[in-house]
Amino acid sequence: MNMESSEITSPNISKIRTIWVFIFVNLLLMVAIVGFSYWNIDKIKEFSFRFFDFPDPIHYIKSDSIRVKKQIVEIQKRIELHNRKLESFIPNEPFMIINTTTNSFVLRTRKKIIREGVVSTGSYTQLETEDGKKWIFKTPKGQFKIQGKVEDPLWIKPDWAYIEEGLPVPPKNHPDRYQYGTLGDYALSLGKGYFIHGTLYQRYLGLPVTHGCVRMGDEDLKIVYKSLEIGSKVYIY
Amino acid sequence: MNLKKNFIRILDTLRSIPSKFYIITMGIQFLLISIIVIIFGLVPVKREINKIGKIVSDSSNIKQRVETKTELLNRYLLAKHHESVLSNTIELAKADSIALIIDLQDSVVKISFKGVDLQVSRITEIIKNSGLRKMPFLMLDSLFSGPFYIEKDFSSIEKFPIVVKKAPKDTIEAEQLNKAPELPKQSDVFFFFIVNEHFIIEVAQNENELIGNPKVVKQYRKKKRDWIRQRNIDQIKDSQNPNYIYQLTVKIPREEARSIYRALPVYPVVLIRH
Repeated sequence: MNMESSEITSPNISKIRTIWVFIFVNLLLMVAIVGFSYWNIDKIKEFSFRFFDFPDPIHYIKSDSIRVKKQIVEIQKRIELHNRKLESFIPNEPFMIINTTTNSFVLRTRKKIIREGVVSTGSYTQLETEDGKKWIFKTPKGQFKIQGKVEDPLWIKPDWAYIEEGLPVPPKNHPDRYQYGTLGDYALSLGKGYFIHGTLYQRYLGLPVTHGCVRMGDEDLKIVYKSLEIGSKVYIY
Repeated sequence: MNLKKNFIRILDTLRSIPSKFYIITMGIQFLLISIIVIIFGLVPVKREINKIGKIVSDSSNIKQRVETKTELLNRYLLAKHHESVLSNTIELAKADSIALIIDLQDSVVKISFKGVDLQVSRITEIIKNSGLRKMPFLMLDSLFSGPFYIEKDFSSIEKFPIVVKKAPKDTIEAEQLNKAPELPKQSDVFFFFIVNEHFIIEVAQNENELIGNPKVVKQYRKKKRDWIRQRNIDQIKDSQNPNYIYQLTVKIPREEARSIYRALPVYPVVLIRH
């Protein structure tokens, strides 16, 4: 009798077990659905937008087509005026744009490009000494005006140049500070100690290697020097 | 062999489960999915549409449709919008800050300073999410043109790549440190501006192949997804929060995107011409 009852109940237990497993799997599936929805809430909203449209906006215009056409013409005239106003912001005389990310420049007028090429700009290096002195070597951004032009410029070597080389810093007016030839044939001053000048390191043009100034190749510098006057604008970004 | 036997046994047992169970469980799953789509999707989207509709009708001077040719009306709206963008550009030219102008009509992204376009980049792809795509032009003009004063952004590149260098003690150490300059590290460019809680503007490189560390890009994408998801969850908790996040993505060449991101100030101004 016992053997018979065990033969009858065993498949039932197996079936009940399977049903519970089935329910458990479905519960897991439901949790997965909720989790997936939480993770992709924005996609559900995107999907929902298929079923809706924005209402047709109520028009501001309260008059007939002829008046609308006249209004369009008036707006076009104002657009023309605005465009002319915007054009007046662009300098008439040659100006320069320097890109410190790609280390490139464009020398241009309002209507055409005179010259474009590569430069070297600030390295974004911060030099720190043990006694807490800091210098950050970056080319400033903004609009500048040429403040001065010099041929055969003299470089007065600043303190950081000695510190960077591991050399002792000489007194302020020491003759060792005065160096010819380092800045190339020409220099244009942008103010606050920043210059556009030449370089001995032509092979590094196109790379951000300077201490803040803008270095140019000899040919490019010559053309820039001859094209820009005192007061000419230089945009650096 | 055992695996096959087990598999057959499982199949047999599954077949023995009454079909009622299958119908009930599938029904529950379907109900759950429907509830989720309604709560997470349909309800907030409907609320958003109603909200936008109310904004427009509240600001309208007249309350009735005017019989005007649609084509003429569109020309009028386009012209008005263009005028507004130019007027804002002139105002931005008076400021002392570089501004970002996204011109979707001419498909260009410009950075402008004092009225001079410093860089003009051609947009290769414009991606708008569903809400922005469906939005009528009038609403785009009044709600999504700007100028926007951005207070937060996320990016896959650093804004100011500063390298700290300790001063060498002597010339020998200096020689070792001051070798040939390193080439800048290659990296991929993606960034997005959070205009407000329901509008983000993304600028992405148009190159599909990544040249930098793919983990950085994954991290960026995760940050963006997390930000969007958190806003959506906040909306469920509090219906006063924005119901939908509008997204505009423009793709431009990688190096141009890099220049743009580094040129913009920490809190840039963005203007959009639709």
